Formats: sequence, structure tokens, C-alpha cells
Amino acid sequence: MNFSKGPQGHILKRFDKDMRKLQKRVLKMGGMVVEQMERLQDALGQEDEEQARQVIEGDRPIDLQEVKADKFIVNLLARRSPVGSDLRYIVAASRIVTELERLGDETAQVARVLFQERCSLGGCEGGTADEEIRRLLGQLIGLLEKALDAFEDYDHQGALALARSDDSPRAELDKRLKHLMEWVFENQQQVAEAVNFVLVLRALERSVRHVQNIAEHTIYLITGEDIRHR
Amino acid sequence: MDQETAFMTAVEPERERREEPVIPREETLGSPFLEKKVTLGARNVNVFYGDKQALFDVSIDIGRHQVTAFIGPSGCGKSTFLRCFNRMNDTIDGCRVEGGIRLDGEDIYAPGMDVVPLRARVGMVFQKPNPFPKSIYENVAYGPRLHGLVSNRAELDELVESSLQRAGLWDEVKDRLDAPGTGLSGGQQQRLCIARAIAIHPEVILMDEPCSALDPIATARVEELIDELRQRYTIVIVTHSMQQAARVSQRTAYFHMGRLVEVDKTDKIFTNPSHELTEAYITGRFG
Repeated sequence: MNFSKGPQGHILKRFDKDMRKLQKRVLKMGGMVVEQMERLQDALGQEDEEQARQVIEGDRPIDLQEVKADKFIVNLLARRSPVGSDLRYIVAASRIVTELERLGDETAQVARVLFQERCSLGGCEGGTADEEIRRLLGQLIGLLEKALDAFEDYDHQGALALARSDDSPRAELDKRLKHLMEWVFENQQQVAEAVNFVLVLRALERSVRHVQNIAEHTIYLITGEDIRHR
Repeated sequence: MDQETAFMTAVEPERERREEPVIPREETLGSPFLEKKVTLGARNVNVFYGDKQALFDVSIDIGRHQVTAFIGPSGCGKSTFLRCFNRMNDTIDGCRVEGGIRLDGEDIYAPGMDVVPLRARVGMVFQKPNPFPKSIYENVAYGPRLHGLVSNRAELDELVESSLQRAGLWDEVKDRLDAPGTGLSGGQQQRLCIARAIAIHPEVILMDEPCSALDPIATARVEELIDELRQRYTIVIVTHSMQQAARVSQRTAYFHMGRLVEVDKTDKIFTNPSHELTEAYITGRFG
């Protein structure tokens, strides 16, 4: 059943407050991940190593946010004994927090490979590889923002569009990733650089999966339907 | 307050709470009917107190050797319905039951049905432990004697012991069987009442908020006992504790203003109920 009211409306107002806090924590963490991705985009555009270093160091606060959110969730479970849509909301929020932490890890990993390993990648589609990765990051940010909006707004259709691989923005991103991989091998990069490139692409691909997972958790939260691994 | 008075006062507030959403006359959601292993089957049960209707077209199957929990706000009719299963409502003046209830296929409201053996087959445990003002032994022995289930003292001793053992009380009382039942703790008294109910070999045990007067430890013991008893008996429990329904039952039925809104597997009811009223009630959003 689709409950569109959100995690509010309890007789116990304190429970409403706790659920609002949980929602804020998840969205705050999502915002931190988006900021990290945008900073990486800027770093790539300006070849700014300082910004890249900030991205690598910026993963730590996201990790700490995960720990805080987990503690909050455990307390909620212990104190409120949630059931029904509340239970689904808390379980989904917990899973989304994990996905966001991993998204943070992947973003830092991309920054690490591109800057610490000092790889200089060739380009494709008439531009540099940096430009291509920036474009992919831009798409990833767009997807993540949509996933966070769907979570915030109880948007079943929005989440469904993200979770389905066919005709979704994710399919477009998959296509770009595939194209990029083909380009690397066609242009016979040196092995070390090619490996680094693959690492970056893999991190971006995993990031897309994490965003898709967030949409799946949101669908579970709204309808109770578990569409994972289908 | 005796059981009857307690029951009436529990029902009365229902009439004054009509500001709550009125649910449409619709079919009960979920899976009220079972394909097999049905002990009790109720069809279109309506109950009236005088000219006031307390239950509306309630239909449900109660599965054999399962615990079925009835939940819902005060005055929703869950206790009224529970009492239909052993015709306890017959004892209330002006109460009228329509529709059909069958125990193992036998119509328990058929003319000529003797309610005394019926109540032996469908035992009951009440909210407040109500041991007789007699010894522990006599509390358990009373029923079997009344129904002629034993022919001599040795058989009676054996039945008392096995009933107390099944009720998880034997080890605590075996050395003081002559002590008054009313001298036991609340939790022990409730288990004594359960021993008394099972001593007459019922098929069904009805429990009307059996733990509401008990502390958490005594409650846990009774819940553990319920879980053990369902291997032999069919159990229907009315409870105000959602957690208790979730812990002890396999199926849960949600009542609202005299109507059976939804029945389903307990897992389903507590994670993803089908009706918005069920959801609102279990998550504490009601009213």
C-alpha cells in the first residue's frame, strides 16, 4: 500500500520529531556526497590538486556522519519499536546511509586515482578523458539528486524510473561508460594508465549502482516491495 | 469488578467515539479464510447489545494449532467477537448473536447445543487472573472432576501434574499444592488459570488480554507458554499490545468499530498492512 503522508502524524509527537531528524540526517549526508562530487568535477576542470586533496579528505566527515546516523537509527529501533511504514522507513534510511557512505568512498577513490597516482588520461569524443569523466560525474550528480528528491518526497514514480535500467538515465550513463572503455582500448593506452582509467570507470559504475540502490530502498519504503536483485 | 462488568465497561466507550473515521462497508482485506486446518469458522457474524450493533458481518477462519491475535482500539469489538467462540455472550442480557460459527464444522449456535461441553472444548483465560479461592491442586482438579474426565484420585493427580507442567508452573508449586491459588504471584496465578483451562483437554484456548496485569518477566513467561501450547491447542488472543501480537501470533486480525478490517499473516500486518486504518493503528497514528 502506498502511504503518501511521510513519516509523520504519530500521536506521539516526539516520534514525529525523531523521524524528521532521521530524514534530515540522510538528506544532509546526501548533500555532503553531492558536494564532494561537485568538488571533484571542479578539480578535474581546473586540474586543481588542492581541490582534489579536499575531496580525498572530505570522505572522513561522511564516514563520521554514517556512524552518527547508525547510532541514531539503533536508538530509534530500541526506543520506538517501529512497525509498518515506520519500520520500512527506518530500515530504508539505514540502507540509504550505507549507500551514501559507499558513494563517498567511490568519489574519494576517483580523486585518489586521478590525482595521487598522477595519471594523465587521453580523451575521447574530441575532448580529454578528464572532460568525459566530468560529464559522467555531472550525470551521476543529477541521478543522485533525483534519488534524494524521490526519498524526500515519497516519489514512487521518480524512484521507479531511476531503479529500472531500461529507458533510465542510468542506461545512458552505462552507455557512456561502455563507450569510454572501448575508446581506451582502441587508443592503446599504456597499461598503467589504462588500469587507472578502468579503476575510475569502475568506481563511477559502482556509484551509479549505489544511486540505483537508493531508489530501490525508496521504493521499499513507499510500497513495501523489495525489488532488489530482480 | 467481575468479568461481565469489565466487559460491558470496555464496550461502552465505543459508542462515544464516533468521531473516528467510519470505514466503508467493504470486504475484509488480507486473507480471512484458510484452505485447510480450520478449527473455527465464523461467517457474517453480527452481534447486538439490545438495539445497538457491536459487530458487523465478521467472517474469519481460525487456523488449527496457530495463535491468532485480535487487535484494535478499545471498543472495536475484538473481545465481543472472542466471546462468541464459546458463547460467553449468552450470559449478557440483551445480547444477540447472528450469523454462523462452526467448531470443527459443527454449528455452535445450533439449537440444542449444550454450552457446558462447548466451554470445555473452548476454554478461556481472562485479563485478570481469577483463580478459585481454593488450593492450587483444587483449582486444576475442579474442571476434570466436573466434566467426569477422571475415574480415580491417581488419574486426577496425574492430570493435575501434567496440566501444571504444560502451564510451566509445576516446578514452582509442586511442593505446595495445598497452598491457596490466590497466594501465588500475578504471573503464577495466570499460569494457574491456563493450567485450569488445559486440564479439561480443550481444543481451543481463548485469551482476553492475558498479560495486561502482569509485569514484563511474567508476561515473557506467559508468551513463551503460549508458544509451547500452540503445538497442542488452537489459540485466539485479544491484546492491546502490538508487540505482543507480533511476538506470539502467526495471524493477526485488525478490528475497527465493530468491523474486521484486515486479517493476514502477522509478518505482513506488522511490516506492510493493506488497509490504511491498520497502518494508522499499528504505527500509533490513530485518532
